[in-house]
Amino acid sequence: MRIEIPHVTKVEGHGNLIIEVEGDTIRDVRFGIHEGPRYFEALLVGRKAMEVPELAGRICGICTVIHTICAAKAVERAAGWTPDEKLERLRDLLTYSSHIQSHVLHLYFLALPDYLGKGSVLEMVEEYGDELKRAFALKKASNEMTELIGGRMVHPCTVIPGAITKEITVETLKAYERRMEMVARETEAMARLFLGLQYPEHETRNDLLALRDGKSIPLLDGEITSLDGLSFPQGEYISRIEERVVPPHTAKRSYVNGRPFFVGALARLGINSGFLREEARALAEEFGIEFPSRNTFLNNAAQALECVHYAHVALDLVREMIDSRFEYIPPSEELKFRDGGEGVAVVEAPRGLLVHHYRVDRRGRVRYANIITPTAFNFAQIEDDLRTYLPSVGVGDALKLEAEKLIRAYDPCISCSAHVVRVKDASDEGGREGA
Amino acid sequence: MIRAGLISFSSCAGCFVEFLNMEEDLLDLVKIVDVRAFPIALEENDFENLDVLFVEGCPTTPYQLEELLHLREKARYLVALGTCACYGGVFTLIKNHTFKDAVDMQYGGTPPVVSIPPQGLSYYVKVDYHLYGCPFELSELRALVTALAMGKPYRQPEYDVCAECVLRDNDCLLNKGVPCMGPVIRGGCRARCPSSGQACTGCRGTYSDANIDSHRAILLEWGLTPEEIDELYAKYGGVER
Repeated sequence: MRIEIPHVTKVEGHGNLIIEVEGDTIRDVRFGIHEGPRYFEALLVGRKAMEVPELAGRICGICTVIHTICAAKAVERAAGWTPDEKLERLRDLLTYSSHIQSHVLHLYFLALPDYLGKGSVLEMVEEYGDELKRAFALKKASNEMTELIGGRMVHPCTVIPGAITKEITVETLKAYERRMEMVARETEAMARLFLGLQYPEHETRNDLLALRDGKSIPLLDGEITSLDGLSFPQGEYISRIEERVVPPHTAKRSYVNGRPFFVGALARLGINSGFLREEARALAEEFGIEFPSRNTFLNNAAQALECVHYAHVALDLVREMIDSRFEYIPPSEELKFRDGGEGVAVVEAPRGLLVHHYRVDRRGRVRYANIITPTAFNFAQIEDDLRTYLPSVGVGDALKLEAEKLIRAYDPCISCSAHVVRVKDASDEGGREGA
Repeated sequence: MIRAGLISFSSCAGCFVEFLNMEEDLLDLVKIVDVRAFPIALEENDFENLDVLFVEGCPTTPYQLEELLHLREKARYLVALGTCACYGGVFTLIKNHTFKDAVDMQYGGTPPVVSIPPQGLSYYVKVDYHLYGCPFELSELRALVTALAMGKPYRQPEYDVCAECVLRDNDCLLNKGVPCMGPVIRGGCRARCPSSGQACTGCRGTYSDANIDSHRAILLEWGLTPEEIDELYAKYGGVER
């Protein structure tokens, strides 16, 4: 028998799930992606490197900020240019607000309904009105902070290689600070809600990968590190992380040392557990949650804790900037490119490791582009995790919900997985969504 | 109640994210709009007999195209939500390559699915309303939903981004020698990019009275080649030459 979920809802993008059942045994699980191709890497080839962040940002409307920043860093490295302290701090602020926005959106709107037994966030309006109001307030404030520096909530327009195009004054930073104060306060209540949910007991059998710098829970720089002890510089991603096509599936999957691996908040907190802020650590202890953990369902709890952590990190940073009378005037000089310029940037997107890699010629034109998104990294892992988890659920009514719950715990962003390709044939009836 | 559905074709989902950015106003919206289908947020989705269907993105597979045609018949009004639905968006840039080269660069020679070139929805079906922008503007969505609820016409902006800059006392980027698309692009965006020190890059497409010839003449005079000007114009697929 075949159980088929033609369109996994409450995830970003289009994915399907097939569970092969024989009697009481689950024989196979296949998670497919049926997103229409957009050819992002190909369309960047030939374009000006300076406009790469603007174009590549359009890969994803939820985590645009991190795509634009990652693209800008990779292009800067291709030009042999290093950002100054001021630019880095502004990028940090943008990253914190956009991570919180992404986590709030995923946790409340996509993941929470499963745990409350509701079909959607709309069904939560009556019973959980106060929680929803908190979600809206958090999302609004984090969006506004992104807009203060980025010029727009979805698809910010100020991030270019070498600069933020907008003048940033202490006044802007004070507006950011006011909002982040509220966010730091309210995310605590949010974390209590998500730490208190009943998560299934389950452990992945695979490794977890995240950036590590030995002094923080880094988002924009660091070595690629794993819970099982791997560690390598960003530039080695291409030789250390293997992408393969596995028959009969046509999708590309990612492996390290021959195994799938997990990327995301759970990996970040696990690998950098010593650097979790006191405010977040106390909450985790109160609910008896420990990091590192290999329970992938706890990715939701880790995301909620990250919101508390990064809100406080951002608050300290912005206050320090205000105290030192920070002022940023966009520089007028332009990046200079030379033939053979190559740049790799690996950052932490809300959903985990993100790679942008470009080669640029002396005319400043892109000659090669490679982008690997967190969902592309997680794709083989999600399937492997379903294969080990679902047999414990068994064949029955709970199977579909539990499968979707696990998929949603990864917060997959299927539109993002630009070069992960579909499993099912385009004309296949099972690919139908909606109708 | 207005029976509404939202569907996403190839896109970044940013217009749905913007839709959810209505925040508390969503609680008021659902008092006049019965959201029957919205797969990113709902478990059960029903696309039958809709008053209005909002479409994000554009079809890039034959299957998606088939679905668009199919859903168009079930909805009284169809709204193209954002630039990809209006014009195809940034991924129309793939037209700069041959299909063969694109597939080779993206998938190393193994096409996973037959793709069709991105086009705005009106290339395939009747579109009743366009909400322009990457992403669209919430103020315009509010105006459209209000108009639909009251049975009144919705009028899209037919003026340029320059008008938006003048209203905000922005320094003119074109005057500073920056190749800004403001003079030919449809306003209504509150000049978000020029207000943040970034030239208008044309995400909302040209407006009806745009003086494209004069704009191109200025850029030519500055020493840009016709190809470079075409490249500026073609970024979001929304500019007629």
